[in-house]
Amino acid sequence: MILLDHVYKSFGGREVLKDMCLHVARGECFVIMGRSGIGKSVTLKHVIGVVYPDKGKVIVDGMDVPNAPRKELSELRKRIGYLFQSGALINWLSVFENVALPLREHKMGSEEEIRDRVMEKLRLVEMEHTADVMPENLSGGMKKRVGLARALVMDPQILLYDEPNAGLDPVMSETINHLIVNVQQKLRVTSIVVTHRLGCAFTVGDRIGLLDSGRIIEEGTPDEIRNSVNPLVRRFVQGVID
Amino acid sequence: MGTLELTGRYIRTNVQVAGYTVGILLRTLVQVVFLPRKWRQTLDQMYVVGVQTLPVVLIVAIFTGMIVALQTGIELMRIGSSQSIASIVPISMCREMGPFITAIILAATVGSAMAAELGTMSVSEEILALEVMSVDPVRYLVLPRVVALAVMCPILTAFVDLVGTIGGGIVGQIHLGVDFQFYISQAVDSLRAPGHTIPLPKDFYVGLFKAFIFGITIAVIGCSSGLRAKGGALGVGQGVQRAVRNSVIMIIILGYVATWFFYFLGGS
Repeated sequence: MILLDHVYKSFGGREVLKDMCLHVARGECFVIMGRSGIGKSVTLKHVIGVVYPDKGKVIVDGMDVPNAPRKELSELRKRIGYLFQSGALINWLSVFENVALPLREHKMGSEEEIRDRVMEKLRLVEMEHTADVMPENLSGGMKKRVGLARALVMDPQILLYDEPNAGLDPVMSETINHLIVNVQQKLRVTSIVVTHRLGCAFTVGDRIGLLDSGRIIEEGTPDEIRNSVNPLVRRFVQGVID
Repeated sequence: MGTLELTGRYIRTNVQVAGYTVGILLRTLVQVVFLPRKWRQTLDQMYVVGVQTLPVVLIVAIFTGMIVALQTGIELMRIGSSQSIASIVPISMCREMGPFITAIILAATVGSAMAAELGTMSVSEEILALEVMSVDPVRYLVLPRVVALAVMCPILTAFVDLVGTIGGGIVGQIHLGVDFQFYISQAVDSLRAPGHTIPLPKDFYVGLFKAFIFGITIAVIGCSSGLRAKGGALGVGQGVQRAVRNSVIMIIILGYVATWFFYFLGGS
């Protein structure tokens, strides 16, 4: 379970999150939708504990993230997978080494076990043929898929996706969307997807929240959001200018 | 904005940078226990630091020895004691020139590269990716680099001392009429430290100790400048600039402190 309770966060006097409240149930895929630069990624970074709130609570799996001791926070992060906008692959490591990185650093099994686990995740994202390829030779979509394999390799209970479709063509976007759905169905993880792409939000989300003015102004199932009468939601979803 | 406010902001920023850098140093020292798990990365870094910079270091070393010999030799010739270069060159190479030149070259090449590498990782969220995977960037990235420079800087300095001294001998033979054999035997004699407990000439081991400190300094400043980089290519560029500038300043300050400690307090 993930809970953000009346969270406030400012950067250099600019208030990004203002009375932000969010509740994501176990096994649910929640999509945070909103314009670029509105604070969606900042919200995700609160969940993983790399950004701390100025005010308010962030609770993940019962742990008070901002006040958690370093060691406990480290253990929590091992249970969370994070897909970055750019994939954030280490550029001097091959695809295989990138995915194996957390397992090797945390000494999770022998080299053989690590190999099996890495190849399993690469197969899941259909990237097993690129195991020896360097990140510089991958397209944007391929980097995202490898990033997803790396996010999955520790068998996380929570998955955070930061703009999984950003910079991708429609076909690759759709492939990533289906991957997210596939992972969600197979692994039953708790997920938060941050996106400004409607297609992604409506395909992968069990519930969707629209972030505006530093807080979720409306949330509901995809159908409820589609049929919302809230002018801000309509403007975002239907591109309607009132 | 007033001058006072600008000065205050400048001081505050620099104190923050210094505090962050010292923090990285302390965190690296704490992580030293994990060094056996990082031997592969450390060896890779040693190769980059030592083997790849060796040619440029040796070229600079030989010409530095030649310049020192020529400059002092010209003056010494006037008083008829040009053979004194045989003790002046090795002592000046071992005491100051060797560690200083090696450190400056490493700051400009390896230190700047470390800042650029880690800076690029920082702005492309790779450092953040390590953090969210519970992989400590200091253990994973900084520790191997600091250890590699701490080990390789003294080794390179020993090469610089040797090659610079030989360079001085070549100039002595060609321009100053100092026999090379005589020069070498005088050079060895001048570095001897009879009766000292450490079986190495003091000028030599103090120089190596300085190089060890310089190596750590360059790596920590380079890495911390990279880790602090923000805002794309411009931020990386500023990080590199900061790394080289701060390394050079610290090399000079620490060089003075080490000289004062070993030769002024400790006696010559």
